[in-house]
Amino acid sequence: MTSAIKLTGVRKSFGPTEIIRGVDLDIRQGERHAIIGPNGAGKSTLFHLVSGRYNLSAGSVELNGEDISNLPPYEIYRKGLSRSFQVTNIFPRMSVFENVRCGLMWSQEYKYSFWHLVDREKKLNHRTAEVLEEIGLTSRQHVPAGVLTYAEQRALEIGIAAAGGADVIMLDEPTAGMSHSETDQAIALIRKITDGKTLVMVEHDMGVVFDVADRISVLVYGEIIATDTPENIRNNKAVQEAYLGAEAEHA
Amino acid sequence: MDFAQDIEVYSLIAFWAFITIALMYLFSRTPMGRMANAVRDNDERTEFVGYSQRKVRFISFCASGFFAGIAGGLFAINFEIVTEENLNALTSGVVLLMAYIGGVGFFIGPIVGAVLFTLLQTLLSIYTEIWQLYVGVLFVLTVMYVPQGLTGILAMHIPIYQINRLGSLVVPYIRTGIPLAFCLAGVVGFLEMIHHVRAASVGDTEMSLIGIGFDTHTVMPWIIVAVLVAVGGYFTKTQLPQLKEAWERAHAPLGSDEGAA
Repeated sequence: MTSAIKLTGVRKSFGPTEIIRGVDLDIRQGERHAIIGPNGAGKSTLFHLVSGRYNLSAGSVELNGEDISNLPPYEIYRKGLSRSFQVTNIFPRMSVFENVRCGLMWSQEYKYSFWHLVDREKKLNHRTAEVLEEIGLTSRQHVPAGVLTYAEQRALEIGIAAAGGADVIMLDEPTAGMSHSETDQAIALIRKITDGKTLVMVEHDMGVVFDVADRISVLVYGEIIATDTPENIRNNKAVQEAYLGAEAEHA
Repeated sequence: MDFAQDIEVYSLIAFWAFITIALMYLFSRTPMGRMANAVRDNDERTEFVGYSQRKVRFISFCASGFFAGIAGGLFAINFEIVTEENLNALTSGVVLLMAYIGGVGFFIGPIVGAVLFTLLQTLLSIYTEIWQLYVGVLFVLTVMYVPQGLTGILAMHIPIYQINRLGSLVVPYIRTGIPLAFCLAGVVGFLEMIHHVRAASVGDTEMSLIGIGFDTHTVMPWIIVAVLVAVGGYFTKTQLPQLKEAWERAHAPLGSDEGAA
């Protein structure tokens, strides 16, 4: 079985500072994989490298067996990898409905068409409505996305990422800054929307990580020190020392 | 048709104006048009939903070139002369000015801006030599205080209209508008007098405003405009808090229908 995402010897430097220092990572198709690590470990940088926002300094990235190293983000998206952002990254002046529809258009083969009228494309609008239903924003669909509450914007962020039906979905801290009840809702949403797909997530909330993930990778100072099941990660001495510390013993 | 009659030229231009406006509107409703808006909103994110922002910009640029080309052709038929002046930075700047005054975020914004600008240009320039100053000030004020443009101001009233509260704003608007009009009249009078003093030939001290003739070298006119500005400004300022309060009341949510917030 080919890997969904395979990183080989990935390195990234900003000037003289090396942020990612040789990462090898193998994410299997259909698994829910969490990347954890202390602040500044390079988790978001790793996401940016895989999704094409940053170019690699060295190494290679494969998506479903195909080399995607240094491709622009839209090419990577078209090959089936979609992502969300840690800092909410939506289209603030467009309506919620249009935000989701923008996330759908490429996958529905519209490309740069200027000979279709979006309002008359039944299938496109029907699918948009379905996604809105899934992320629970149907009642807010005509509101400009910029005026949604924080939790709603996070849900929309996930909705845009998942709308296009990519088979690998990367979520960067989907529950950051949420209350407990909002986090529970977000987890349910993530489970629902990534069902049958490969999920890679960066997450700080250990409850979420151990609840959702099939496997966990621990990134410390630009290197993966362990990749294993949640139980083994919890009992891994190196991880405990480097990162989890007392938190793991209480868990 | 040989376009010798004004009415023929007018019909032709009107016909194409409506056709192109319709086409532009339809363009904005296509996947490409929606992505152009998405790039405006958040260019980076468009790359993560499959679109190259460079290509979206390129196609948008081609489309605007297409419409500008039609406008240029009609311009040539209308004025029967096209010179360097029609292509220089000033002309391009005026187009931007129209769009900003009218409101760039709205489809009809630039149309409103163009109509208003042309009216100011043709009507105001009959009455005053310094009309460009007024247009410039209007532009600066628009950019500073209502970046959504004049259409934006109108659009802000739509939700109030929909909940039938527009009536509550009429009185505050009148109460603020009257002193504001006096204040502005004072400012305009002052500017016109300054301009007359600076630009008129030596010994020509007579000028007239709204049909009233007076001598700019006497004290009285200056006192009058100063009083207009001061009194108008003072009363405008006293009315502003009430206007603001009325505005906020009109915007207050109806009961608890703020949605899922």
